[in-house]
Amino acid sequence: MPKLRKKKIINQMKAEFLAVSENERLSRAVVSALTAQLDVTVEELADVRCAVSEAVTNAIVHAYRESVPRRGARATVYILITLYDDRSIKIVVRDKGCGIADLHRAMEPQFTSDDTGERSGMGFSIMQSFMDCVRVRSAPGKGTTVELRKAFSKQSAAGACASEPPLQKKDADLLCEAEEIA
Amino acid sequence: MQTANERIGCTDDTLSAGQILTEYASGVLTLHIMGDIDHHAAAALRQGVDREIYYYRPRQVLMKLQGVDFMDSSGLGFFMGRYELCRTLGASFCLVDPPPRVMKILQLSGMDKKLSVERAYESQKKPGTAVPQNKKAAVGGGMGE
Repeated sequence: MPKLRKKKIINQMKAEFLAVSENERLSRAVVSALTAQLDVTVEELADVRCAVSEAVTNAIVHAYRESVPRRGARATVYILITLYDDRSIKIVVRDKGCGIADLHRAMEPQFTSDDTGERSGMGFSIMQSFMDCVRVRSAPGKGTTVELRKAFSKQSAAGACASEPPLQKKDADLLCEAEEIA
Repeated sequence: MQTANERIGCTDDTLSAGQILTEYASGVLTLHIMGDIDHHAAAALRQGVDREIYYYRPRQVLMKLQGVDFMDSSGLGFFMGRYELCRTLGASFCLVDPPPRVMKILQLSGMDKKLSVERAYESQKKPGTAVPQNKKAAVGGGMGE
Protein backbone atom coordinates (compact mmCIF):
# COMPACT_ATOMS: atom_id res chain seq x y z
CA MET A 1 0.00 0.00 0.00
CA PRO A 2 1.47 3.36 -0.98
CA LYS A 3 2.35 5.60 1.90
CA LEU A 4 0.28 8.78 2.15
CA ARG A 5 2.51 11.66 1.20
CA LYS A 6 2.02 14.84 3.14
CA LYS A 7 1.31 17.67 0.71
CA LYS A 8 3.74 20.54 0.66
CA ILE A 9 2.95 24.22 0.68
CA ILE A 10 4.27 25.88 -2.46
CA ASN A 11 2.96 29.36 -1.84
CA GLN A 12 1.03 31.22 0.79
CA MET A 13 -0.40 34.68 1.18
CA LYS A 14 -2.13 36.59 3.91
CA ALA A 15 -4.32 39.60 3.28
CA GLU A 16 -6.35 41.77 5.59
CA PHE A 17 -8.55 44.68 4.74
CA LEU A 18 -11.40 46.76 6.12
CA ALA A 19 -14.88 45.31 5.83
CA VAL A 20 -16.08 47.74 3.18
CA SER A 21 -17.88 46.58 0.05
CA GLU A 22 -15.26 48.07 -2.30
CA ASN A 23 -12.92 45.33 -1.11
CA GLU A 24 -15.05 42.47 -2.47
CA ARG A 25 -13.61 43.12 -5.87
CA LEU A 26 -10.12 43.43 -4.40
CA SER A 27 -10.38 40.10 -2.61
CA ARG A 28 -11.39 38.35 -5.84
CA ALA A 29 -8.48 39.91 -7.68
CA VAL A 30 -5.98 38.89 -5.00
CA VAL A 31 -7.21 35.32 -4.74
CA SER A 32 -7.43 34.75 -8.48
CA ALA A 33 -3.95 36.20 -9.04
CA LEU A 34 -2.46 33.72 -6.58
CA THR A 35 -4.61 30.78 -7.73
CA ALA A 36 -3.51 31.39 -11.33
CA GLN A 37 0.01 30.34 -10.29
CA LEU A 38 -1.30 26.75 -10.24
CA ASP A 39 -2.09 26.97 -13.95
CA VAL A 40 -5.81 26.28 -13.54
CA THR A 41 -8.56 26.39 -16.16
CA VAL A 42 -10.67 29.49 -16.68
CA GLU A 43 -13.71 27.64 -15.35
CA GLU A 44 -11.91 26.56 -12.17
CA LEU A 45 -10.65 30.08 -11.59
CA ALA A 46 -14.18 31.44 -12.02
CA ASP A 47 -15.43 28.95 -9.40
CA VAL A 48 -12.80 30.09 -6.90
CA ARG A 49 -13.47 33.77 -7.59
CA CYS A 50 -17.17 33.31 -6.99
CA ALA A 51 -16.76 31.27 -3.79
CA VAL A 52 -14.33 33.82 -2.33
CA SER A 53 -16.66 36.65 -3.26
CA GLU A 54 -19.47 34.90 -1.34
CA ALA A 55 -17.37 34.37 1.77
CA VAL A 56 -16.01 37.92 1.81
CA THR A 57 -19.42 39.42 1.07
CA ASN A 58 -20.89 37.49 4.01
CA ALA A 59 -18.22 38.92 6.29
CA ILE A 60 -18.81 42.45 5.02
CA VAL A 61 -22.63 42.33 4.94
CA HIS A 62 -23.39 40.30 8.07
CA ALA A 63 -20.43 40.04 10.43
CA TYR A 64 -20.03 43.70 11.33
CA ARG A 65 -23.64 44.74 10.89
CA GLU A 66 -24.14 45.44 14.59
CA SER A 67 -20.91 47.38 15.00
CA VAL A 68 -21.25 49.78 12.09
CA PRO A 69 -20.47 52.95 14.11
CA ARG A 70 -17.04 51.55 15.03
CA ARG A 71 -16.37 50.28 11.55
CA GLY A 72 -12.94 51.82 11.15
CA ALA A 73 -11.66 50.42 14.41
CA ARG A 74 -12.15 46.65 14.31
CA ALA A 75 -14.09 45.71 11.20
CA THR A 76 -11.41 43.74 9.37
CA VAL A 77 -11.62 40.74 7.06
CA TYR A 78 -8.66 38.35 7.00
CA ILE A 79 -7.83 36.01 4.13
CA LEU A 80 -5.20 33.27 4.09
CA ILE A 81 -4.58 31.56 0.76
CA THR A 82 -2.38 28.46 0.57
CA LEU A 83 -1.32 26.63 -2.58
CA TYR A 84 -0.21 22.98 -2.28
CA ASP A 85 2.00 20.91 -4.55
CA ASP A 86 -0.83 18.45 -5.27
CA ARG A 87 -2.59 21.23 -7.22
CA SER A 88 -5.00 22.06 -4.44
CA ILE A 89 -5.83 25.28 -2.68
CA LYS A 90 -7.06 26.29 0.73
CA ILE A 91 -8.65 29.67 1.36
CA VAL A 92 -9.55 30.78 4.86
CA VAL A 93 -11.77 33.84 5.27
CA ARG A 94 -12.07 35.10 8.81
CA ASP A 95 -13.84 37.97 10.52
CA LYS A 96 -14.09 39.08 14.13
CA GLY A 97 -17.72 40.13 13.86
CA CYS A 98 -20.99 39.07 15.47
CA GLY A 99 -20.74 35.37 14.63
CA ILE A 100 -23.52 32.99 13.61
CA ALA A 101 -25.83 31.57 16.30
CA ASP A 102 -27.49 28.86 14.22
CA LEU A 103 -24.92 27.69 11.70
CA HIS A 104 -27.08 24.86 10.38
CA ARG A 105 -29.86 27.26 9.52
CA ALA A 106 -27.49 29.87 8.08
CA MET A 107 -26.17 27.33 5.60
CA GLU A 108 -29.59 26.28 4.34
CA PRO A 109 -30.30 27.33 0.75
CA GLN A 110 -32.33 30.52 0.54
CA PHE A 111 -32.06 31.31 4.24
CA THR A 112 -31.06 34.89 4.89
CA SER A 113 -31.16 37.04 7.99
CA ASP A 114 -31.57 40.07 5.74
CA ASP A 115 -35.13 41.40 5.55
CA THR A 116 -34.82 43.87 2.66
CA GLY A 117 -35.58 41.19 0.06
CA GLU A 118 -32.37 42.04 -1.77
CA ARG A 119 -30.31 39.04 -0.61
CA SER A 120 -30.84 35.58 -2.00
CA GLY A 121 -29.50 33.47 0.86
CA MET A 122 -27.58 31.35 -1.63
CA GLY A 123 -24.05 32.26 -0.48
CA PHE A 124 -23.12 29.02 1.31
CA SER A 125 -24.86 26.89 -1.34
CA ILE A 126 -22.76 28.51 -4.04
CA MET A 127 -19.56 28.04 -2.01
CA GLN A 128 -20.45 24.36 -1.54
CA SER A 129 -21.12 23.70 -5.19
CA PHE A 130 -18.09 25.58 -6.51
CA MET A 131 -15.56 24.24 -4.00
CA ASP A 132 -14.77 20.67 -2.90
CA CYS A 133 -15.01 21.32 0.83
CA VAL A 134 -16.53 24.13 2.89
CA ARG A 135 -16.05 24.20 6.65
CA VAL A 136 -17.38 26.91 8.93
CA ARG A 137 -16.54 27.65 12.53
CA SER A 138 -18.49 30.32 14.34
CA ALA A 139 -19.89 31.34 17.70
CA PRO A 140 -21.94 34.41 18.66
CA GLY A 141 -19.60 37.28 19.44
CA LYS A 142 -16.53 35.29 18.39
CA GLY A 143 -16.54 35.92 14.66
CA THR A 144 -16.69 33.43 11.82
CA THR A 145 -14.07 31.41 9.98
CA VAL A 146 -14.85 29.87 6.60
CA GLU A 147 -12.43 27.38 5.09
CA LEU A 148 -12.71 26.63 1.38
CA ARG A 149 -10.76 23.84 -0.31
CA LYS A 150 -10.52 22.81 -3.90
CA ALA A 151 -8.33 20.40 -5.84
CA PHE A 152 -7.76 21.30 -9.48
CA SER A 153 -7.69 18.95 -12.45
CA LYS A 154 -4.32 17.28 -13.01
CA GLN A 155 -4.16 18.28 -16.64
CA SER A 156 -2.63 21.73 -16.59
CA ALA A 157 -2.62 24.05 -19.59
CA ALA A 158 1.12 23.39 -20.03
CA GLY A 159 0.47 19.64 -19.91
CA ALA A 160 -2.11 19.90 -22.68
CA CYS A 161 0.47 21.66 -24.83
CA ALA A 162 3.07 18.92 -24.17
CA SER A 163 0.76 16.26 -25.63
CA GLU A 164 0.64 18.15 -28.95
CA PRO A 165 3.18 17.21 -31.66
CA PRO A 166 6.32 19.37 -31.67
CA LEU A 167 6.37 22.53 -33.76
CA GLN A 168 7.17 21.63 -37.38
CA LYS A 169 9.81 23.39 -39.44
CA LYS A 170 7.24 24.23 -42.13
CA ASP A 171 5.11 26.05 -39.51
CA ALA A 172 8.14 28.05 -38.40
CA ASP A 173 8.98 28.89 -42.04
CA LEU A 174 5.41 29.99 -42.59
CA LEU A 175 5.72 32.41 -39.69
CA CYS A 176 8.93 33.92 -41.13
CA GLU A 177 7.26 34.38 -44.51
CA ALA A 178 4.36 36.16 -42.88
CA GLU A 179 6.78 38.51 -41.16
CA GLU A 180 8.58 39.28 -44.41
CA ILE A 181 5.31 40.19 -46.10
CA ALA A 182 4.37 42.45 -43.22
CA MET B 1 -29.71 56.62 -27.66
CA GLN B 2 -29.55 58.34 -24.33
CA THR B 3 -28.02 56.33 -21.53
CA ALA B 4 -29.30 56.26 -17.99
CA ASN B 5 -26.02 57.55 -16.69
CA GLU B 6 -25.97 60.48 -19.06
CA ARG B 7 -29.44 61.48 -17.99
CA ILE B 8 -28.76 61.30 -14.27
CA GLY B 9 -25.32 62.80 -14.66
CA CYS B 10 -23.23 60.02 -13.15
CA THR B 11 -19.47 60.35 -13.10
CA ASP B 12 -17.06 57.70 -14.33
CA ASP B 13 -16.48 56.56 -10.76
CA THR B 14 -20.01 55.26 -10.40
CA LEU B 15 -19.88 53.61 -13.82
CA SER B 16 -17.08 51.28 -12.79
CA ALA B 17 -19.23 49.74 -10.08
CA GLY B 18 -21.64 48.45 -12.72
CA GLN B 19 -22.85 50.23 -15.78
CA ILE B 20 -26.35 50.48 -17.19
CA LEU B 21 -27.35 51.45 -20.69
CA THR B 22 -31.02 52.15 -21.17
CA GLU B 23 -33.20 51.86 -24.24
CA TYR B 24 -36.91 52.58 -24.18
CA ALA B 25 -39.42 52.05 -26.95
CA SER B 26 -43.16 51.42 -26.89
CA GLY B 27 -43.50 50.24 -23.34
CA VAL B 28 -40.42 48.02 -23.40
CA LEU B 29 -37.52 49.10 -21.20
CA THR B 30 -34.25 47.42 -22.13
CA LEU B 31 -31.46 47.66 -19.59
CA HIS B 32 -27.98 46.55 -20.60
CA ILE B 33 -26.05 45.58 -17.48
CA MET B 34 -22.27 45.67 -17.72
CA GLY B 35 -19.32 44.77 -15.53
CA ASP B 36 -19.45 42.89 -12.24
CA ILE B 37 -22.60 42.25 -10.23
CA ASP B 38 -21.41 41.78 -6.66
CA HIS B 39 -22.80 43.18 -3.42
CA HIS B 40 -20.97 46.47 -3.94
CA ALA B 41 -22.06 47.01 -7.55
CA ALA B 42 -25.59 45.78 -6.87
CA ALA B 43 -26.26 48.80 -4.63
CA ALA B 44 -25.48 51.22 -7.46
CA LEU B 45 -27.23 49.09 -10.06
CA ARG B 46 -30.34 48.84 -7.91
CA GLN B 47 -30.60 52.61 -7.66
CA GLY B 48 -30.02 53.11 -11.37
CA VAL B 49 -32.39 50.39 -12.53
CA ASP B 50 -35.19 51.33 -10.14
CA ARG B 51 -34.91 54.96 -11.19
CA GLU B 52 -35.34 53.95 -14.83
CA ILE B 53 -38.30 51.70 -14.02
CA TYR B 54 -40.09 54.41 -12.03
CA TYR B 55 -39.31 57.00 -14.72
CA TYR B 56 -40.59 55.07 -17.74
CA ARG B 57 -43.21 52.85 -16.04
CA PRO B 58 -42.78 50.20 -18.77
CA ARG B 59 -45.03 47.20 -19.31
CA GLN B 60 -42.01 45.01 -19.98
CA VAL B 61 -38.49 45.13 -18.55
CA LEU B 62 -35.73 43.30 -20.37
CA MET B 63 -32.42 42.99 -18.57
CA LYS B 64 -29.64 42.22 -21.02
CA LEU B 65 -26.75 40.48 -19.31
CA GLN B 66 -24.36 39.90 -22.18
CA GLY B 67 -21.85 42.39 -20.77
CA VAL B 68 -21.70 40.88 -17.26
CA ASP B 69 -18.17 39.74 -16.41
CA PHE B 70 -18.81 38.38 -12.94
CA MET B 71 -21.79 37.62 -10.78
CA ASP B 72 -22.26 36.06 -7.34
CA SER B 73 -25.33 35.46 -5.17
CA SER B 74 -25.75 39.21 -4.67
CA GLY B 75 -26.80 39.24 -8.33
CA LEU B 76 -29.56 36.75 -7.56
CA GLY B 77 -30.86 39.04 -4.83
CA PHE B 78 -30.65 41.97 -7.22
CA PHE B 79 -32.73 40.12 -9.85
CA MET B 80 -35.26 38.99 -7.25
CA GLY B 81 -35.72 42.54 -5.99
CA ARG B 82 -36.27 43.90 -9.51
CA TYR B 83 -38.65 41.04 -10.32
CA GLU B 84 -40.74 41.88 -7.24
CA LEU B 85 -40.73 45.58 -8.13
CA CYS B 86 -41.88 44.86 -11.68
CA ARG B 87 -44.60 42.58 -10.40
CA THR B 88 -45.85 45.29 -8.04
CA LEU B 89 -45.94 47.78 -10.92
CA GLY B 90 -47.65 45.28 -13.23
CA ALA B 91 -44.72 44.91 -15.61
CA SER B 92 -43.15 41.70 -16.87
CA PHE B 93 -39.50 41.06 -16.12
CA CYS B 94 -37.11 39.03 -18.23
CA LEU B 95 -33.40 38.26 -18.18
CA VAL B 96 -31.85 38.14 -21.63
CA ASP B 97 -28.66 36.41 -22.78
CA PRO B 98 -26.98 35.55 -19.49
CA PRO B 99 -23.36 34.45 -20.04
CA PRO B 100 -22.61 30.78 -19.13
CA ARG B 101 -21.25 31.66 -15.67
CA VAL B 102 -24.35 33.69 -14.81
CA MET B 103 -26.59 30.93 -16.16
CA LYS B 104 -24.79 28.40 -13.96
CA ILE B 105 -25.62 30.42 -10.85
CA LEU B 106 -29.22 30.97 -11.97
CA GLN B 107 -29.65 27.22 -12.48
CA LEU B 108 -27.95 26.37 -9.21
CA SER B 109 -30.41 28.51 -7.28
CA GLY B 110 -33.41 27.36 -9.32
CA MET B 111 -34.02 30.96 -10.27
CA ASP B 112 -34.05 30.15 -13.97
CA LYS B 113 -37.42 28.48 -13.26
CA LYS B 114 -38.86 31.38 -11.30
CA LEU B 115 -37.73 34.24 -13.51
CA SER B 116 -38.11 34.15 -17.25
CA VAL B 117 -34.74 33.79 -18.95
CA GLU B 118 -34.33 34.17 -22.68
CA ARG B 119 -31.34 33.38 -24.81
CA ALA B 120 -30.83 35.44 -27.97
CA TYR B 121 -33.77 37.78 -27.73
CA GLU B 122 -36.04 37.35 -30.72
CA SER B 123 -39.44 38.52 -29.50
CA GLN B 124 -39.48 41.54 -31.81
CA LYS B 125 -39.80 39.10 -34.70
CA LYS B 126 -42.63 37.19 -33.08
CA PRO B 127 -46.05 38.39 -34.23
CA GLY B 128 -47.65 37.82 -30.81
CA THR B 129 -45.61 40.48 -29.06
CA ALA B 130 -45.61 43.05 -31.85
CA VAL B 131 -46.86 46.48 -30.89
CA PRO B 132 -48.99 48.75 -33.09
CA GLN B 133 -46.82 50.97 -35.25
CA ASN B 134 -48.59 54.21 -34.35
CA LYS B 135 -48.05 53.66 -30.65
CA LYS B 136 -44.37 52.94 -31.23
CA ALA B 137 -43.94 56.23 -33.09
CA ALA B 138 -45.76 58.22 -30.43
CA VAL B 139 -43.67 56.87 -27.57
CA GLY B 140 -40.46 57.00 -29.58
CA GLY B 141 -41.03 60.67 -30.37
CA GLY B 142 -41.50 61.55 -26.72
CA MET B 143 -38.22 60.01 -25.69
CA GLY B 144 -35.56 62.11 -24.04
CA GLU B 145 -37.92 64.66 -22.54
